Formats: sequence, structure tokens, C-alpha cells
Amino acid sequence: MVAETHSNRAILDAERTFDEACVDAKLSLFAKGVNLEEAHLLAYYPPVQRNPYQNMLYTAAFEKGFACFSVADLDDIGSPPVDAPLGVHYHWVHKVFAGAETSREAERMASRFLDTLDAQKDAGIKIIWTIHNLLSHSARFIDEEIALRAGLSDRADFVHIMNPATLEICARYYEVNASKTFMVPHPSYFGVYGDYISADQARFDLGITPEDKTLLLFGSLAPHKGTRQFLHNLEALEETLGIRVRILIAGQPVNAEYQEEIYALVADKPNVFLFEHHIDDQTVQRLFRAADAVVCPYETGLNSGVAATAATFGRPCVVPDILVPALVGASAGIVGFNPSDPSSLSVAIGRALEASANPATETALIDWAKLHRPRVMSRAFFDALRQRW
Amino acid sequence: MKPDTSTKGNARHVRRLIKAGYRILPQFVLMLARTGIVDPFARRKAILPRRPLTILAIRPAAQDRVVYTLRVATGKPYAERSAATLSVTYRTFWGRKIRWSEDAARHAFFADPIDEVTEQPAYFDVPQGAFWVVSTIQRHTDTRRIGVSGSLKPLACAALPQVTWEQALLSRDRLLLESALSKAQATCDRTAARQILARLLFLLQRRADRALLRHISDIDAVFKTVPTGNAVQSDTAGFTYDALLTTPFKNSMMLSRWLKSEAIALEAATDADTILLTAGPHLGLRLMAARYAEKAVQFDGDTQYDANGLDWITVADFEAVHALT
Repeated sequence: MVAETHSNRAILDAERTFDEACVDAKLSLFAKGVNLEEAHLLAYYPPVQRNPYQNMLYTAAFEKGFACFSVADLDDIGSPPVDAPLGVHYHWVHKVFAGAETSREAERMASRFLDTLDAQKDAGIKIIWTIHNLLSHSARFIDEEIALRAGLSDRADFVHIMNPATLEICARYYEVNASKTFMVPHPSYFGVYGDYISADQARFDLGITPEDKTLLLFGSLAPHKGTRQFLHNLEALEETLGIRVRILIAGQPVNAEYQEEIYALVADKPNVFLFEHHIDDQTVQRLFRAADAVVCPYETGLNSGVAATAATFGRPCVVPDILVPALVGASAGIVGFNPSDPSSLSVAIGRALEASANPATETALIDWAKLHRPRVMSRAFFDALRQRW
Repeated sequence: MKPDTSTKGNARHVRRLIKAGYRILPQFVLMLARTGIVDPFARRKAILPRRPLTILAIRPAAQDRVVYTLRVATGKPYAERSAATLSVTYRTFWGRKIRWSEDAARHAFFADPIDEVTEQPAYFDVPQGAFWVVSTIQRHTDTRRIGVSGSLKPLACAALPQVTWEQALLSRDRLLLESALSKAQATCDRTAARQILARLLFLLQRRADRALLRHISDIDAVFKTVPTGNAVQSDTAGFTYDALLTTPFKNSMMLSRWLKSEAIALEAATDADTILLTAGPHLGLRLMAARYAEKAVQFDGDTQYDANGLDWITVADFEAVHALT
């Protein structure tokens, strides 16, 4: 019981009602000195705990006259009990399908979600959507999710994108009206994770000698991350590169069946180190600092927090070509590959390892990270939103 | 009986088990099983209850080893790791518990998808003085529904079964695999050992297996990538390398790292291109260090190599390196 009361979630949402949150928000903005005509309330959904993205994006909210608060249940949202414009900011929409076992159920849930959006719009609430992915990584009900995204896109007043190619890529599945969109890049993780362990110490801690070329695959262990295919092709990769590489794989498993495949693939590879658990904020630095380069062997994607994290720690990163424009300005250390051509991954990794040997790469990436630090990107986000709202 | 499933998904998996003939144990069977005397799985396919099931048996035929043969099933479409655990404790005739390694007295079963259920023999060594064998099986989690058939009674096992190499590699039993590993060690077969360790690692995820696999792989890599030597051999050796310059290699070290350290010490000790290797202790290791320091070598006296005390390294490994010089 005590653990429940003191959980992170309670700390985050203060266990208050939607109405209480609105009143608190308005009072906080008033205390901050925000002109009450300019005060905006922004509820966001779904709240996520371990991914710091939302905290990063909203870090400059108060200085820009916005008060942001999470809502765990969309049914809680109604007209605000205070005189202030309210928006609901939608992020990852897969949660809409939580518990669905059949397409029919998924269709019903999507329909109910869109009805909720209609009701919010009828109540004068603005709808904001950040397109994180083309489709949810764990999407089981593809057609239903496409329909849901099309409906959300149609209803959204403002659409936040982080990759300039987003509209073009999404057009394969659903239309996004360009006039609603605004582009603010993914922030770096500058100041987000602990960053005080030296590369030498990190490598020593992990038993990596200075000569070992080390690649890091970071993030949840899920099929869309491409880890399985990467491990299948590891020997070919080493042959192409002409070196033996050390591989660090770190992240939380999300699928037991897939995890068994990973266990089977790494069992006979003593050069692969698997850390199959959530990596806490103070340990992230050890992995990134120890690596020569970071690899995101994804099949597709729109944005990558891992690539932004790699840049923050000054490490080159290999990403699918489609992700390169999302990290504009970091070209010194962002190397693209073509996911449909496995050999291009080896070439890209070779280039990333070459880049890592050049001290200028680390400097350039850290400069990028400073320019894109969360507070700067957060200000850009709220400025763009205010212009339209 | 109210099912203890917490999600619709679990309920679906339970339905699959029931369709395959697995049943929730009737109350009277559960009650009899909890007396510790009745085998709850005898002649039935049962769904494991939430609480562990224990039975008490007399150690069979005074053997040093017992075997249980169970089939474990899941309604899920893939094999579930550590779905059920069998723990065995031993007691003397008078009921005193015998201290015994916990690792050696536990076996974690994989649950197979219903259409692929196979027998999973689990072998246990029995300590001296044991009279009673107390066997407990339990599910890994509260929400998981696991089907079991077979017997919870220990059977006598005079010796581990003779299995082929392929069968051993497919086995899920620790003792069988460790026995195969011992055979590989006896013949210093690193390739076989790596395969067995990979299987053990997949099954048990033990640090010790991972460390041994890294150790053996490192030895393999060291002997496969001995520098062929670019140093120009002089007529006379400029340094007599008659003893190791650092602490001798131990099996607890990675050979590659020890060699690097010794090679650095050798380079610091002499800048001669050619060194003289004298007969004596650690000749093989000195030869390797010289090769890794990229020195040309001359030999003085008998070049008899000795691999005593060096796990997973043979005289033939050193002789192969010698042949390169």
C-alpha cells in the first residue's frame, strides 16, 4: 500500500482530478506572472514514465505561458473549470488499442477514441498531435490503426512533426494536412542523463580494452528494432569490416517470444553483451561512452531518441536513411543505411567507426546536442504552437 | 474454482490447455497431493495450481542419482522459459534436512507449446545419507497457467543415459550437458565445448558458463590469429628470454590480455628483433608472447612444450605456433 502511494506515477500526476489540475495550472501560471489572457492549458496523453521525452518537450512550458499536465484517462477531460484555452496533446496512440484481442474490438476502440476527440472539439478544446511514428511499433491491428491515425490527423488542429519527411512518409498510409503541421526537431538529451563518467572508465568498467571496436544497440528489445537481423548478420559484418567487434545490447525486453530468439542468437556469441533490462538514467552514460558507435538497425522509423542520445554523448550513430533528415545539423556523425540492402549497414558501420576515430566528430555532435538541448527545443515548440493557437 | 487469470490473453491460453486435455486438479486430489504422499500427476494431465505441490518419496534403490520425467505445456504459441520449477530436498531417515547445493537441487522446466510437448528428463544427484526425497513443483508466476503430465515421483537412475552428441546439444538437462562438457574438457575439444556452453547459456543464463565461453573463445582467437611475424631475423639473438617477465598466466585470466601484457613487458625489456628462447618452464607461453611482440625467435635446447595446468590449451596448440616460426 505504501509503495503505491509513493510510486513515480503519484509523484508525477499528484493524484488530482482533471478539474483540480486545470485550476492548479491557471494559478501556477498566474504566480509565474503570465498574462491571464495568454495562459494556455495543455493536457497530454498518454503519459509515459520511463521515456523522458514529454518532460523534455514541456520543460519551457511555464516560461512560454503554458501549463502542461498528464491525463491517464481521456474520459476525465471536459471543459476546463477555468477561463483559459485548453488543448489536448496526443503522443503515442497505440494505447487506444490496449486490451483489444480482435480486429472488431480494435475497430470499436478506435471509433470510441475518435468520438472522444469529436466531443473534445465540440467543447472548444484544441487537438494537438505529435507524430512519433509512422505506425506504432507494436501495432497488431494495422488497418484499424491506420484508420485511427487518419481520423486523428483529420481532427487535429495542429500537428507537430520532428522529421521534415514525415508527411511524405505518412502519405503511404494516411494523409496529414500540411497547413496544420509545424516542425520542431527531436531534442537532444543534453542535461537529461547523468554524464560524468569518462569513456576510458566506462570501457574499463565493461571489460572493453582500448583496442576493441564496440557497437551499442540501445532501447527496448522489440522486433521493430532490428536486433535479431543484426545478430543474424554479425559474422558477415565482421568479415566485411575485417575486425572482431564487441556488441553491447541494452534495453527492456517487451516480448517473451522475441526475447527467446535473442537469447538463442547471443548464446554462441561471446563478443555480445546483453543487458536485458531497463537502463537507469545514471547508467545510460556508461553504455554510450563505452561505445565507439551506436547502431539503430531499424527497418523503418520517423524519429529516433537513441540517435539523439548518441549525439548527446558525442557518438556517431548508424540509422536508416529515412531518419537522417530528422537529425539535421548532426551530419558529422549520423550515417544512413538502406534497410532493404543489408550490405549497406556494414558500410555505414564502417563509416561510423571511422568517424569515431576523428575527435572532431565528437565535438561536432556535442555542439549539435547543445544547440538542440531540451529547453531550446521546448521553447521552439511552444513558440510554434502559440503562433497557430 | 475461479480461474486466477488476470487478462483475456491468459484466459485464452488456459482454454487451449483445457482443449488439449489438461484439467484443473480436483479438490480431493489436491488435498491428497498436499499430504505429500500422492503423486498429483499420476495418470492425468493437470494444470498447475497456484500453490506449489510437494510429494514425499523414499530415495529409490539407494542410487546416487534420481530422474524425473515430466512434460510441461503452455497455451502460448512459443516455449516459455522457467515456466515451472522442480526443487528437491533430501532428508535422513530421521527427517533431518541434508544441506545440498541449491543449484544442484533445482530444475527449471521450459513449457512447450501444446503441439510440441516433449518429455523433459531432469536428473538430480543425491547426497550421501539421504533417505527421503521431497519434490516440489511450482509455477513461475501467479498469472501463468501451465500444464504438466508425467510423474513427480523420483525414479532410480544408475547412470546418465548415453546420448549422442546431437542429442546432448538438444537436451535441456544441466547434468547431461555438464557431462558432455566434461568429456569435451577431457579431450580439450574447444569447438565442442563452445557448442555445449552456448546451449547451457541459452538454457540457464549462468555467469560462470558465459565466462568460460569467453575464456575458451579467447583462446581460440589467440591461436588462430598469431602474428605471422614481420621481424627480420638476425644471426644472433639480442635477448635471452628464459623466464616470463610478468606473473605467469592463470586460467582465471583472458589469454589475449595476459599475452598483451607479457608482450609489452618483453618490448620494454629489449628492442632486439631476435630473441633466444631457452628450454624450460612456460616455453609455450614465452613463444606466444614473442610472437605477439612480433619478435623473431631462435631456440636453445629442447623445445618440448608443456600445457600442464593450462585449461583448454594443448601441446599441439603450441606446436602449431612453433611450426609458424
